[in-house]
Amino acid sequence: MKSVELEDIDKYFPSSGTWALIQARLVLIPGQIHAVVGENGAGKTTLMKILAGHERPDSGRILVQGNAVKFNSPADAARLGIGMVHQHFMTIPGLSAAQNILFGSEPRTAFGFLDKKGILCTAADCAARYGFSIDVTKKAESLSVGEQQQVEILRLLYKNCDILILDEPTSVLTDQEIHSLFSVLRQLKASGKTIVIISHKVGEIKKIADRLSVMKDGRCLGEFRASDISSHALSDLIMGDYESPRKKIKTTFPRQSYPILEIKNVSIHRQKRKSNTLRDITLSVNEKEIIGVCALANNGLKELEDLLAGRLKPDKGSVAYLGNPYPKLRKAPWLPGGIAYVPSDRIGRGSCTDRSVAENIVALDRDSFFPHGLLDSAKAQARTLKAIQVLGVKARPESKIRQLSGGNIQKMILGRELSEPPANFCLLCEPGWGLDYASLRRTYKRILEVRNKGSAILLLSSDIDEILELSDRIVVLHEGMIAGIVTNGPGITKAKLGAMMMGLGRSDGEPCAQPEKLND
Amino acid sequence: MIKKESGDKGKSLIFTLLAALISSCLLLLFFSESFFDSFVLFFINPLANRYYLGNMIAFMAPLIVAGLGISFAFESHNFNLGGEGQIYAGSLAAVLVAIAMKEQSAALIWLASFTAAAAAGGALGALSGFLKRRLAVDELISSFLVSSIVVLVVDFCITGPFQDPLSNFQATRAIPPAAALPKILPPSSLSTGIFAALLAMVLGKFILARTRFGFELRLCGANKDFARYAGIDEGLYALVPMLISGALHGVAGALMIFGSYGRLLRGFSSGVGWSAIAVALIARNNPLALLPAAAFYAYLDAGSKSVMMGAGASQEIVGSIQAVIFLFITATRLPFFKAQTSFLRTMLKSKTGTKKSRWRSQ
Amino acid sequence: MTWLDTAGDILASALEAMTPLLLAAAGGLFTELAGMLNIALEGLMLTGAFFGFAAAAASGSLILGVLAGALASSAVAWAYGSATLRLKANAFITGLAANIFAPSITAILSAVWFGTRSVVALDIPEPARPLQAFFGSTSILGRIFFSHHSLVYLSWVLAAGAALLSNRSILGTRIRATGARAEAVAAAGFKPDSYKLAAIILSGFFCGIAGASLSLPLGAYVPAMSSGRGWIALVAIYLGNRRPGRTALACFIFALAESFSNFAQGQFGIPSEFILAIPFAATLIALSLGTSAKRV
Repeated sequence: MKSVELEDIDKYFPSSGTWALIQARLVLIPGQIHAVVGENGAGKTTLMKILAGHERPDSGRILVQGNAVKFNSPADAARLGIGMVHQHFMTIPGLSAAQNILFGSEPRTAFGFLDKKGILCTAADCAARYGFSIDVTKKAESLSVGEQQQVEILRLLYKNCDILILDEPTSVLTDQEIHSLFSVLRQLKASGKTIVIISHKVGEIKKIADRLSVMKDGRCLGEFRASDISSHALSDLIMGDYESPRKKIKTTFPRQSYPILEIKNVSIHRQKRKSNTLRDITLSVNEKEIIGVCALANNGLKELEDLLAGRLKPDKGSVAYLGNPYPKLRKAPWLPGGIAYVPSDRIGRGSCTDRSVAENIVALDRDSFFPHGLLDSAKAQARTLKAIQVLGVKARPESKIRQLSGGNIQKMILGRELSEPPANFCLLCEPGWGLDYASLRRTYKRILEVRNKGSAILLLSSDIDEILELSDRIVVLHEGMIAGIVTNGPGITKAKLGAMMMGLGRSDGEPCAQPEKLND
Repeated sequence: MIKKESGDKGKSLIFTLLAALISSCLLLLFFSESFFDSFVLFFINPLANRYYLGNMIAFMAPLIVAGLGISFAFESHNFNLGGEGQIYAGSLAAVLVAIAMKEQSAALIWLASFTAAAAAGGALGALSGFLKRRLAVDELISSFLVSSIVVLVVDFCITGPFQDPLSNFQATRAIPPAAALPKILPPSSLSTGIFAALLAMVLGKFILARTRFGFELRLCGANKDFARYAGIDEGLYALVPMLISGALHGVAGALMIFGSYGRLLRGFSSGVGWSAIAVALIARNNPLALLPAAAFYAYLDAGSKSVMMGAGASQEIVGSIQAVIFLFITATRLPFFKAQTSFLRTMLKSKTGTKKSRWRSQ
Repeated sequence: MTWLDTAGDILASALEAMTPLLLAAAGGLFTELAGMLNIALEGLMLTGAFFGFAAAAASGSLILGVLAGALASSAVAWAYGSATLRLKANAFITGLAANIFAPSITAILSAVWFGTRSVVALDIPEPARPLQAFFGSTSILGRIFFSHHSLVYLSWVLAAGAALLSNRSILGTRIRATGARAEAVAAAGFKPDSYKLAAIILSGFFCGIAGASLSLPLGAYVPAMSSGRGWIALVAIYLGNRRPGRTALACFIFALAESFSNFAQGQFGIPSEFILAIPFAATLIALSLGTSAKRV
């Protein structure tokens, strides 16, 4: 059993220009389940990646059994028994579950050939020893998400890791799977393993963890015994004490204004996965309204975005915009009939990193800026400055996007999409990503301004706080279906939405049936 | 596909050109009796001799035009490996039209022949673009396959139906003498075609850099997903640049016919398509840089022709040098130039105060 | 001659024509599994054809010829792979380098060593036909399957070996994993680039033998004798969906097209240019009809 300490870890990301970790510290007690909790982007994952050798700290020390160690690669960490299961699983398609578990140290026969039988037996033994119920002969690509996770954990156990780090292990699991995961984790603890869970879900943490570390803005706020701290106190610590400004800005509008965007009975079938990625979605977004859509990963949020980005064609149903079929090619937001769209993939889709800020803005509206086929620089310059000023992008129009920090790129995109005059319809996906606190406030303010000017806004976000803060109505997707539509108000809490996102309670404006189930 | 990395961009260019020169010297050292004589022949002779100088500049014309065609394809992220066939087919079309129109005025012949050449080359390029857009066939492979077929078919045409019955060469009949482009530096083959090439180059630069079409084309090349997001029909830019690229190759072929050869000889343009790719890569797809790139390339070509007069292996010498260029020109990480970045990080760190972002983690 | 004899002859020559395709496809399979589009197969084959022939001519031994072809081609593959992986150069352009380097350097060396840049025909031993004596060549089946020279059978053994290596060996598993999920390989403590380089060198090795299987039975080196087979092999791998068995089947179909067109040439007097173009055309058509949407 090993004790592990992280001391005063600093980590700076030059690409986004942010400090991910500032003097972060953590102590792991052997044989316990330790939770690292905090909001999205509090630095939890970065800190754990450093412990598992995936990232190197700028400064600070890692102590294992009191000895300072340096990890240059995950393999170094694994040698000391530290392993991590990432949020995005790294199972290798084309290989069986058994081959995945043993990857890197497979039993072999003569001449460097695989001992297929040996691999299956060893993997099955390993699974059985730790109480996993997985069919190791299955190919990786046909494993369910929960099974992939088991493979990842088994991979670490096979390498004799005794410190297992799990990054948001429950975010992609069904309730049933969470239940069995937790029983497996308890069993592992009983056999002497140390487990670290990264999470932002208070209810789950209270259920499983022995100790908690709370992180916020790259710092560790403190360590607690799980039994010593109430859910409420923990929640307050994670959220911080800032008050939602929504209450100040929010104004009420007459409902029943006319719908701008209408999605009717849309289903998208993806043949490879043999499951519907969107099932029978009917939703209309009215003018002067923000509809927030939230879901756990792989529950249809991405597909909804791609549908409205014109990337996925509905197999059934239709989408109408201002009474016409939804346009195949988007017009710039400031043009009549235009659409504002802030994509969740800001580098790949939302910007062109090889081009200047000005070109990234001009690109949206070639009709206006190339009046006779040639660039009208003055006009382009004016629009660029307008877009930059909305959120105060720290860049010149001629700066290349690749020279900008992540937050600045996001501000450029937001400014471009939300500049005057606003579009009738705005599709905003994870608008708060990468923004510092001040920019976040300015962004939220601008989004509400745009709403008040009459835009219909569809806000897709995995960040429940963002949803709660901005939305007039909230739609929850679960397994590609609408699990519920609620009107935002004082009765709507994170816990209720969380329960709906996990498919626990259906609601149509009424409180959820079992809202407290996860938060006991 | 041709990814430009900011840091080592210039370095890899210098490194590549040096490697090309060094490998030329090595080849001379290995395959000639007297290194010094060959060295003079290779590096000095092309510039000292009016005939070689003229031929060298004449060769730049098709290189610039075809290189421009490659730039159009590469800038839009399309890979045109069919240049060989497109040049050859363009040449055939030009020759046939010119022969058919031998009674007409020179200007009319030029107009019709170059149009025909552009159409022939463009059709081949567009075919690959179409296959990519409609059937998701990799344009890299399809353009090469189409070109391989076309080269053989044109070979057949030259030796079969269109063979000049009065000639001992495997060649078509000659174009009307009046239609040949005026010579500038006789007895070399330098003609006014070089001015046409320079004009095309400037026009190409203008289109790519200034016009809406060029803007959209480059945007599709740089980030197709973003282009689509911005409302550009990116499927169109799989097709049109390949068409332009093919058309320019066809015109390059016609330029060689009307400027130098006067008839279509079997295999006369063999290798020019590959050379154009090398030139476009050295120029980093910047049309104006095609001029020095083509000059450098034509210089090496003239040098190897001059040194290999007897042995006749100039084509292969050029090929070897070309291979060296291809090997290094796109390198983004060169072993001899290590960038120092940790210093920058320390600098940035002292400027604390930026609040934590929510971006990286998760 | 009955139609049965004719069909038998076409099949027999198809099996012979399949040899270089099968070997090149076996080599290309490794780079394909490692997640790379290896367009250098053509140049690698030509390198193997020339050096294999030159070594056989110098030593008088076919075995040395095959080995020399494999080694020379592996060396070129190593250079191509290093430029691509170590210098992070564009794989298509470096592949082009290999494809252009091969005909050039072979022509130069051919001029220096043999005094000609065109066809070199020398007296090298003819490959044995090991099974002919046992099974005879009188029956049709005997002619189809047992009348071939040893390189044909060697190609079958090597192709089976390549299938085994890619499916069952540790190295093959690592290469596959690199192609499927390079970051998982890195996370397990291995270097994905090493496995990519290994795949490229393996493709060079097999393509070298493929080239030797062109020049050695012919007893001559002909410039550009690979004549597009590297590309055809690449397409065969796509059509075979990267599975060894299906790829071999695709190779056989292309070889059948080749031998049928040779037969047609003799029968109907079709110009040789068209005959040479048929494999390219068949490949293009197969690619258009078969692999749309398969490549991601």
